Order: sequence, then C-alpha cells, then structure tokens
Amino acid sequence: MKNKKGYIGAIGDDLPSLIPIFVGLTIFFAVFLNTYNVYRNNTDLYSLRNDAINISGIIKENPIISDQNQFIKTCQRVKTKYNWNAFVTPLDLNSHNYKGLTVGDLDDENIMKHWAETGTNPRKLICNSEGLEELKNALLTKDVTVYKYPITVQQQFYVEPAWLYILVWK
Amino acid sequence: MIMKITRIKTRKGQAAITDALFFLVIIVTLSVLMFRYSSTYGSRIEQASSDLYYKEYTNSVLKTIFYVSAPLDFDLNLEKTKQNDYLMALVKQDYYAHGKLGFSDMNDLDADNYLDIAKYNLFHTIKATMRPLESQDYLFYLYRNKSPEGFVYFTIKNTEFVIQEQEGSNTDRQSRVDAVRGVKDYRLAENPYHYYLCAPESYEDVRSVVSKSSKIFSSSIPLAFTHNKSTYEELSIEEDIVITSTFAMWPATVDINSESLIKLNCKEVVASTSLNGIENNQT
Repeated sequence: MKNKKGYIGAIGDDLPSLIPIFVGLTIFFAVFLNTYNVYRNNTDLYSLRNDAINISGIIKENPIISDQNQFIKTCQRVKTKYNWNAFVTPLDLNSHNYKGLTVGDLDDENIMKHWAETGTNPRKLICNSEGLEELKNALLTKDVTVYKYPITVQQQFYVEPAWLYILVWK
Repeated sequence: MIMKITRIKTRKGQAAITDALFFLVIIVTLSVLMFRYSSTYGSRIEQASSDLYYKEYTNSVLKTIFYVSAPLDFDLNLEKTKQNDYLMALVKQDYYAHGKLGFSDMNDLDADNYLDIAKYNLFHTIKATMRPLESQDYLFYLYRNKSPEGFVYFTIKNTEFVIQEQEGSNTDRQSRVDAVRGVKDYRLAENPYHYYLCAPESYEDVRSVVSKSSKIFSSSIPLAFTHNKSTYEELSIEEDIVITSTFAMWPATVDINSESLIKLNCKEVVASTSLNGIENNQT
C-alpha cells in the first residue's frame, strides 16, 4: 500500500495530464489557423493592390495620353490574374467643382473622349468599354481596389488635366 | 537499486502532469507570439500598400504640373478660354522676365492682375490635383540652387484639427479604452482646409516645419531656367539656372498649425465661390 502512494492506475495517472495537452493543442491549432487565414487574406489583398499599382505604372508610363490608340495599346500590355479596368474622366481645375465619382456616374457620358473622334465612333478613354456593366456590378457586389491619379491628355489645342481610375477586383 | 525503481514507478502520475503543464506553457507562449504577429501583419500590409500609392500619387501630381496647359485668364476653364499655354512655359516666361513668379510678392496673389496668371494657375492646378486626398497636407516649391539661393514659389496646405484627449468618464467602451491607451481624438475644425502662399527665407525654416511629420512622400525634379537681367545700358542674360521643383505630402493629422507657419512668412489664399474673387488674409 505504501509503495502505491500517488498511483491510481494507468488511466487515472494519464487522464489529468491529457487535459492540459488537449487544451494546449486546441489553443495552438486555433491560433495557427487564425494566423494562416490572416496571412492568406492579407497577402491576397497586397497582391491585388500591388497589381493595381503596377497597372497604373504601365498606363502612366507616358506622361501624356496622346490619343486613344496609344491608351488602348498600353492597356493591352497589362498582364494580371485579376479582373481590372481603367478609364479617364475630366479634371476640373476649379477645385470647388470637384465631386467624387459614384457607381451611378459610371456611364459613357462621364468618360473622357479624345478630340480626334469620328461621328459614330467616339474615342472614349477606357481600356474595356464593353466591361462597364461588369465593372458596375463588381463595384456593387465585390471588394474593388480603386486607385485614382491625376494625369494629362493631349486634346486638339491644349493638354487637359484628367483623372485616371484603375479598378482591380478578384 | 530495486527500491529506487519502485519509488520512481510510484510517482509517475505527478511527472506526467508536470510535463503536460510545461507543454501547455510552451504552446501558450508560441500561440501568443503567433497571435501578435498576425494581429499586426494586416496593418503593416495596409501601410505598405498605401505608402506605395501616395508615392505614386506625388509623382503623378508633379508630372501633371509639368505637362498641363493653363488658360490665359482667371476662369480655370481650358475648354472655354480663348488662349492657353503650357503652365511651365508660363512659369519660365515669368522668371525670364522678372526673375520671380508673378508681379505681386511671393506670398501674395492678385487675381485681378494679368501678370499673376502663371502663379494663379499653378496654385489652382496643384489644389485641384490634390483635391481627392483631403487627408493629406502638401507643399510645392520652386527653389533656386544657384547663388543667390532662395525660393521662387512656395505653397502649402494645412488642415486644422481640434485635438481632444479621450475622457475616462465616457460611457462608450471604446472611448474608455482609448482614454487608457492615450489615443487622441482628431476632429476637423470648422473650415479646416487652409491654403497659403509663403516666402520662407531659408530652407532650414521649411525643414523645421515639415520635419514634424515622420512620414513624407516627396518627388523632386531639377529644371533649367533663364533670367533676362538686361538693363537699358547692358544686355545680360543669366542662363542654366537650376531650379528644383519639389512636391511633398504628409498625413494631415501631423501637428503643423498656423503658428508653425509664421516663420515661413505665409499669407492665406482664401478662394471665395467666385473664381475671380480671391482674397488674401495675413495669418
């Protein structure tokens, strides 16, 4: 009896030690899973934003958008795994008239046109004009990264300031 | 020897639970480290992305200033103006003729005087391109590097905040947490955005104001100017004057107030709703 002091059998001995082990493993895997999710989500977000910056770098490569053909050609050089679109809107030099662009404003009227347009083929400065509806849906239903920069567009008699919008989403 | 082995066997229950507790301590420590890493990872990524964006934006603003046209009137409307020219060409013409920008003092703007047209358009072009980023303050200057050194043009935007320490008596839980952590509550003052034209005497004065911000995004390009210093008696043209143009922005929450701007010798440019109605107020 004296030799069996503290000994309460094989299961009786191991059961109390199993509880902290089980709690420890639960905590570890919960935190590990959480960390993994945070890492994956943020890396995805960073990759998306990084692509948005790269796209803007390609489109802004020339300080002036000289015509629509040049704009479309630069758009075609963009390679990304994400969905994206880019377009140009007028920039009013009178900052009192500034208003942000809303989803409702996204139509052909608000997209800047290059001066050298023909009657039936307006030269809109948008990378994917057919994707305008898709873009509107994405803005309403998904997380879209929107970057906006001031740029310049060569018009017939002057160089006009404009806003370049880059929109990227998954 | 046999007695010793028997003693160990009798105490194996205690040894197992001690091992398990050590294991728990190690696991909890690892988990805390991992949790701390993950909790700051998102904000670091967010910060890196926005830093990259602001850096690109400063480059875009500077490029826009250099390539854009400006109307040769005070209406800020390129489509309707009868005459226009490149903005930087106007700036260089002014410098060629007067060795400075515009007719009025460096920290002044006369919206009725045609001789201030370059200065007027430069001021409004910068203001318009920075309009979407109200959370950022900025400065733009032209600085002559050749002797006699000095500023040719200097504009700065300053956002006024009312800073309130969080009070512990607030019933809101977050406010109480912020009070303990010493988090300040920044609220925009009434009419918070102020635009100044300044005439700083030295570069050190500017540095002492701007260095209050730990984070500044800036872009700088050297330009070659010419100054016609001819008089009736003598023909004299000073060439290859290197003037550095710099655009910089920083978070508007940085504590730079109107008092900090006194040493820069600034005057506020107050634009009323009427385009031509620009008044100047001494700070």
